[in-house]
Amino acid sequence: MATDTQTIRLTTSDNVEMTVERAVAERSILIKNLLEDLGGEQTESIPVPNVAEPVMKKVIEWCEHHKKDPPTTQDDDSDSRKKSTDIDEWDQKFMQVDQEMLFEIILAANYLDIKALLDVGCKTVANMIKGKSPDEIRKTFNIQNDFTPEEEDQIRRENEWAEDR
Amino acid sequence: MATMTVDETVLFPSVTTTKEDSMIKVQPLKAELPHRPHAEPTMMGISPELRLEICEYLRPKDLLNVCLTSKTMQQAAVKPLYRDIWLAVTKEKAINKVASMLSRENPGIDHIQSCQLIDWCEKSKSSCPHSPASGYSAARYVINSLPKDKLHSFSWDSTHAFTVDLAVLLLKRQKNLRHVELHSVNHKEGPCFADVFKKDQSLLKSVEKADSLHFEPNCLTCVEAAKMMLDSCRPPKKIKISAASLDDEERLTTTNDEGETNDPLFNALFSNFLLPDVKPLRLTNLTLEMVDLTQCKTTYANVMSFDLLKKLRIRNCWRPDLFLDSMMYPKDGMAMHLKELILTHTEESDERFITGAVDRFLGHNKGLTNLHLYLQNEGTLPTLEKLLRHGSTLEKLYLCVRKSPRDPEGQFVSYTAPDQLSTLCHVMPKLKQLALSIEDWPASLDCKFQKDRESFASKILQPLAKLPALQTLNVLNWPQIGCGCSCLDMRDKTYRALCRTQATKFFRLFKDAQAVAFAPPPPPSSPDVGTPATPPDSLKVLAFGEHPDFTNRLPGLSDKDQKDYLRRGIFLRVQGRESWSDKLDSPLAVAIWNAELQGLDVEADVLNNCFKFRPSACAGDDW
Repeated sequence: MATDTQTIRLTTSDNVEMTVERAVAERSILIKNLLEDLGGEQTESIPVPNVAEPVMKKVIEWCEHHKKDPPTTQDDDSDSRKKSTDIDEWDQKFMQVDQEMLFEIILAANYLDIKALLDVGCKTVANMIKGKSPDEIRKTFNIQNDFTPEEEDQIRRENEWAEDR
Repeated sequence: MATMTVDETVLFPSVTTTKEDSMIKVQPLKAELPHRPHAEPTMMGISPELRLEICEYLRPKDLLNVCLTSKTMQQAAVKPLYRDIWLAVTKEKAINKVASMLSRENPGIDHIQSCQLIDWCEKSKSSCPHSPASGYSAARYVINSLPKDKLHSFSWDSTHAFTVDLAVLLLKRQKNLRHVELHSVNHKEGPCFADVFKKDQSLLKSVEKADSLHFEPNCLTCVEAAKMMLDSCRPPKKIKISAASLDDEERLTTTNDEGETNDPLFNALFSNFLLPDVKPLRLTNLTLEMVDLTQCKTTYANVMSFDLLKKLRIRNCWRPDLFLDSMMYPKDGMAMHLKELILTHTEESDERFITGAVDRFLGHNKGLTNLHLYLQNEGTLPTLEKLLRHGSTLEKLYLCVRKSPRDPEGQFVSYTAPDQLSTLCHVMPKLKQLALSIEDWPASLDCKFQKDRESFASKILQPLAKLPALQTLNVLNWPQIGCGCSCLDMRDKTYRALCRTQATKFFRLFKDAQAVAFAPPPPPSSPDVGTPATPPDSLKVLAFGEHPDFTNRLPGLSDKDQKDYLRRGIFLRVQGRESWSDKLDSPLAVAIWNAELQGLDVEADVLNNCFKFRPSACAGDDW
């Protein structure tokens, strides 16, 4: 099919124009829906006002690698709720970026509606939390403790039932 | 994300109308994605929904820590922490923890959807020396204090029977239940469920939204109550029936002189489904325990369509083979989507029927991801050929076949020839959890693995290392103590320490063996997508021993330390560190709780093979 190699252009928030294979860009449900609504050939560049070039590059890199993945099926089976934090190896490497970029990717994936990339991003952050003490978590993510010692005690007591897990 | 769809609808209509109407195309068609203020790329800068999304991947112990970091983070963490809770209520002081949890200030309690009370005595499964009082008072406290009408599921998991009073209290307070349990209750002195329902029909309103039912009737009148529930609820998706608490005359099929058969349990529950206009039951999950299936072709299998069935558990039923056979040629709907089959059978005289049935069934179906077989006669092990049909999809495999019933020596039948184990492991790329007896597992703890290195490596290690995703290995036979060991009369502590040494050693050897098995091809020829660049090093949990139903003795262990219920060892390795599931160098548990396994952060539920019934197998969502 001719559409296989069809490309589209995207303009990032910092006004950089990027040419992307349509099939790759369509990993983004937002872009896919937009293209569908427009119909036919899209000749003009699509502005992506919320994503800057460096982030967009990463996102497209991810989409390129996963372009042949089967579309994610919405399996609302209740046992899929137990979420695993397994990340495949390529994605693990892909996510070895600084924290700012990591959250940028999460924000972009959320905005562009790329569920699988959002999942990988969230899993990566979850893995950074695992096994850390409250203090270590605060340090890692620069979180200000806004609890009084009494409040902290109260929370500890409330959650004591879960402690031996 | 949900918020996004809103924006799209706001934005796109104008674009679509312009496209349709080319005449009015004064302005050039312009594609534009919605604009919105850019959030900060930090944990605190992203939206609450995204913080929640991250927390959904965390286990309770990490969520606890997240709760303590700040108010904003607590908001994100309480929902996943409280959605599905279990409370251990055996000890008297447990009520204090329950009371603190139910404090009015706790933002978590509004999020509780499923609540499981566990009142388990570790000593024994059947009889329990402690009083049920603390469990009952905790249950009463919880049921009275949880916000009204929010619960989807309440489970009672205990060696003690539930009470009618508590069940009524629950139904009065919670009218949105999705999963309802009718437990075995001791009602010699009091009324039965059926009496209560007849007196107060409004109680049945509380089950109207339920589509998951768990019945464990005590008498045929209780079955009547179950029927009332079945008639009041939605078309059920999940049904679990246990006839364990019924007497034989109440659960067994009889044939009279005229040759008419009567199955009291089936008749009371499902006979109306045999009527011509009634649609068959379309279940996703079905569990049958100690149910008489000798007539199932005309009864159970006749009222069910299997096209949606995903999970099937048959435990100690009469003639499960007939049910499996009926499923292969059903009246309605083939079981095309079956993912899980758990079959336990200890009625040894009937097992000759099972032998063929399991093989036929495995040969007829395809695509199982979870298979547990727990059988007790030589010859019931399925053939490798039929099992391999499911090789590409299997993620969990539990195979425990005893040589003879109630064998005190605990001898197993398994795929022991090296080529068999190798063939098996070679075709299961997705297998994460494996429980298997491995006959040639080194006979001695103290010898470790070196003495017999060659045959151990070729017979066991190398075949197992072909499993690229194996995380949890449960070696069903216990390591024997023997050759060259001077202390045959070993203390429990020594025994455990030796088990631990062996586990440590095995982790290392397994890693090396996987490195060899998945070594990248020597020259940088064509980059093969299928081969990972680095060897997997996947093994995280190693456990010895099996189902706690068995009371076998450990050779070498001193008499004093022999237990009725063998303690099982879990050896855990997380993030390259080896750790033990217990701080005090005794990484052991009598029976392993599901929730305990969730805390491990590794998929290890194959170890929870005590898929007990009463106490209810597990939380409503889990089956």
